[in-house]
Amino acid sequence: MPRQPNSSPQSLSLLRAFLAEPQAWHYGYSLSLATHLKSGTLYPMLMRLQSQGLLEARWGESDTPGRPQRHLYRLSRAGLAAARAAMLQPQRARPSRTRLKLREQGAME
Amino acid sequence: MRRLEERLLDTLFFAASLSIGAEDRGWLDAVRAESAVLPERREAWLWAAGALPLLARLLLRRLFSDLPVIPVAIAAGVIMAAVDLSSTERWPAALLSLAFTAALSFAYPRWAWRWAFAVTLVLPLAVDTGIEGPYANEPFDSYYKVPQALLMAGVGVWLRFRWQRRRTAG
Repeated sequence: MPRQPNSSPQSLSLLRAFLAEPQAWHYGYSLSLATHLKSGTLYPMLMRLQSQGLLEARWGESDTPGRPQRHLYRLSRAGLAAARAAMLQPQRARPSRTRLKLREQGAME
Repeated sequence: MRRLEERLLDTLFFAASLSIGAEDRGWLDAVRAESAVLPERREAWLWAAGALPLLARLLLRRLFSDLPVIPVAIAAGVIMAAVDLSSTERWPAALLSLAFTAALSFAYPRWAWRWAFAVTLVLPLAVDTGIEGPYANEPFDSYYKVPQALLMAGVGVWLRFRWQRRRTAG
């Protein structure tokens, strides 16, 4: 079965963070705090969402004077629809080892 | 100390951004800008380290851009190697490798050094696997076309740049 795009737990966690405040612009660091994703995971995901047209990005002034401009992100209209659809998808639960063992035992009986 | 670290991070990010295209530099700048606002030094460094997988991804994407051209360049390399290994003269193959590299670099100027390597490294590969030409090979002799092809890739890119400038001016 082909994998749904943006259906990994990390992607869903990121989309959930965006959906918490769908109209707001988010900093990378605030997204990292909300999702517990490290920058090395977060930014490739943001890059992918933007290339899919699901994310808008802009540069904004830093809160601290003298610091470089920060990148801000929010879901585009298509992104909002995709995120809401992704939330409605049934989550594919990974079967636990115990459940797999029980299934194997059941097959043997 | 923090100031020194900031300068060091700026330098590292600047050096990294040179290896990727202008359209992708914004992502590295975004990581750097966030790391600059983090109060904890360790956290700032860890955040900045996240640029490494991002950079690897951007480099790979760039390396495999123009994907259909890669087999074409390798095919050109095979033709060049076949000519070199079947001729007693060296100039026909040398001329071919230069022409192929210049043409590919003119048509696809992004990271044109890829075409130079793809065209010229087929011959050493063939020689290393035991295929011998009609002339005696010194060790590393078959690599002599690589620097010439790299130079020619530069020429191809320069010609493309000039051609584009003339087109936009006209």
